[in-house]
Amino acid sequence: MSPKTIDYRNARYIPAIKFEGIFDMNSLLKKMRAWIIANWFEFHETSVKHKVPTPEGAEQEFEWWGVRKVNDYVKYHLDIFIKFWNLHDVEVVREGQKKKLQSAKLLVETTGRVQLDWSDRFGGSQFLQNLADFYNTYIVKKSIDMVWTDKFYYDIYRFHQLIKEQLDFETKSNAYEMDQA
Amino acid sequence: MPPKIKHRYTDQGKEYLPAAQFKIKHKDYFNWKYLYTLLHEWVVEEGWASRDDKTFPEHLYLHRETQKLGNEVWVYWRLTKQAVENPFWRYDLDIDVHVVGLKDTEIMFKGKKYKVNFGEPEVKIWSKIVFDHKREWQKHPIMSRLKRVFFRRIIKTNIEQHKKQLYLESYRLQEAIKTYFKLSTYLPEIEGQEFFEVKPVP
Repeated sequence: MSPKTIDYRNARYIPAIKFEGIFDMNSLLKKMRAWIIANWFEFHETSVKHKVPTPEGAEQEFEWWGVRKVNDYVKYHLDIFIKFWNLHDVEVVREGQKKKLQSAKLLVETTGRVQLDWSDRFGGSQFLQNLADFYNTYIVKKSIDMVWTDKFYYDIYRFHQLIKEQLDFETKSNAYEMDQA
Repeated sequence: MPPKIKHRYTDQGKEYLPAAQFKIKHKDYFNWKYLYTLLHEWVVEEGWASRDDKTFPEHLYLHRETQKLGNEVWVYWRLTKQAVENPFWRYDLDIDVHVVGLKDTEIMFKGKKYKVNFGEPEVKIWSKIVFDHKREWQKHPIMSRLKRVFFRRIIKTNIEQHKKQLYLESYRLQEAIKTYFKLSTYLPEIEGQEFFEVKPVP
């Protein structure tokens, strides 16, 4: 039976972002959230954790979930895990102005899932489930592989790029958008 | 044979749709009384409960004292609110607070001594829309058959609107809690910024 959810963790590798340095945490989180909403995802912050600050800084962890209905059959799920270690405020002078930024170690993991038949049209009997299997394997196979999953995969890479831009990475583009490099 | 634990909605034939679900965990200095008051004031102000303590839907307040590890607190609130324009819809907001290692302590901040608590509070929130909570449609011989079509076809956009409204309201509560804990917030207007006190430590 074909899977109802196509998980990128099993299919294609989305690299995690690791960073250590000074950045604007609030702006980073706000822009990431704004991207998710601007791309028609419903934004959910499922978990927020904060640990008592040590002399090196605090530890914070965020779990985000974005969900988008593509059509009556396909749904995109975007799972994001963000973790900060040794997080503390620092004052930086940029272009002659004092700014309050943050210094930390950062990890961002992004995963995408494409859910098929989310409205459970084929959810009833065994016959309907077999029919769904046939439908996914023979009728909409090309659309699943080349339209829905592919598009979402590149969308995640664009999201990746946004994070890299915010953190001022040396490579601010991705392999699929070389023209912006 | 032990009695079967019934599901609050499905075993009673109630249909519901989750709007938001999240948790906030914070291990640091804070003031348990402020946090409790903040949550209470917020739900009262937003019309989820009345100020009368007798009718406030606090289903559990468990305070367990230990000698070494600190206290443990469990709080369960099961709040409900009718949709303004139509009693067919009901919004449910479940708030669970679990605090572990709760200890009284004192800190110095800007030359002043404050009595605070240290511990690890975890606030879990679930919000749901419940349809036909009085089960009027369910009991009706004709309407019970039309229910599925009615939900899926006729009032689908209406459901989405209600879900969005409850979603926004839930995240405003999250914003209020995060503002108190001094965590990153995202809404353009910070919830509870002026009214509620923030924890007295950086």
